[in-house]
Amino acid sequence: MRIYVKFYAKIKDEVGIDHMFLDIENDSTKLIEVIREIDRRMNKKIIEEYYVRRRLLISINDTLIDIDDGILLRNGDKIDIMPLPSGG
Amino acid sequence: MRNVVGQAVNLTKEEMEIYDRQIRITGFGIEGQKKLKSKRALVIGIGGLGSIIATYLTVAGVGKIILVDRDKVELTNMNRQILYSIDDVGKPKAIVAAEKLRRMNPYVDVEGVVEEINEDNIDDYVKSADIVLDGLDNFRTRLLVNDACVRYRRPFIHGAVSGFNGQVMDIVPFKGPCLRCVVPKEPQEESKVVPVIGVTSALVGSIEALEAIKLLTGIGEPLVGYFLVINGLHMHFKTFKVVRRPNCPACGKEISK
Repeated sequence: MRIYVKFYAKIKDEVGIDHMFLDIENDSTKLIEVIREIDRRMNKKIIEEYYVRRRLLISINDTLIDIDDGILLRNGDKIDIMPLPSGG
Repeated sequence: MRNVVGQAVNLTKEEMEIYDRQIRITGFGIEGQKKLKSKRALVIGIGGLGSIIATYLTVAGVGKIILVDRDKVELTNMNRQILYSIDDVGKPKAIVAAEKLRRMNPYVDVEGVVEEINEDNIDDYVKSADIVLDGLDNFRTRLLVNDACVRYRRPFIHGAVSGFNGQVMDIVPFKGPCLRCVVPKEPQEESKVVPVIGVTSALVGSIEALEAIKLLTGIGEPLVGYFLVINGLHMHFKTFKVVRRPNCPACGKEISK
């Protein structure tokens, strides 16, 4: 399956690219596996660090999701990955 | 139009002049102005976001505004917390802000409270308001406020900033998702010190105030069920859909309502 991943703000700066296409062998895959695959391609643990600290927002096909929901991603999905600001 | 204690809401000749330019807006009018005057807003946190929110609600004519902040003014606030000047360093923010806003618009009842929001007092604060606005700097308290707003069915306007980025979401309990539908558990905090430039706080705070005015007057389409993400560096505004979650720890129980 192929999914499109777009990065925003600080995460985009740390990853070093605006977006990427991810080709994964399975027909569907869990979000955490996609995150780990992105980090593997980048050769550094960036997104998973944000994920573990719950400091990111993720949308799938323009709908924000709960990162713990156990959602499966499928061919053609678009993911937006953003940091979660907390300042006021 | 009546306020919370049942008194008729009228506008003086001077108020009509103060609000003339917004009363002239099609769809807003005198009725919209009276609605604002009849309402009470609670602004929690009078820092970068709260300074802007409180200012614009005051000049718009919201009848009563309660400002809550435990902190004193510091030099590091000066790049964005525009209600304070260097002379105010060391003074309680809520008191300084309330005094300035009362001078700005004596027709608005602005009350400043120096207190930390916690589990013991949040319910009373939320119950005392028609709408609650987020000027906070941490998610632990934001989620506390969200949960109280869900309990008492008060609209809550969430906002947050970092650097040149920000976000806004309107929470109208049981009509749309709440903050826990997006952030179910408290994240590890970003840092004690969040880098931010004043204009980001101004942009996000203004949008929060705008959303409050929309909800209080019934005008326009509020960001209920939507999460606005702002990237100031690239002038990129994107609205994501948010779905109310059946298993949300705050608003999931009354999913049928």
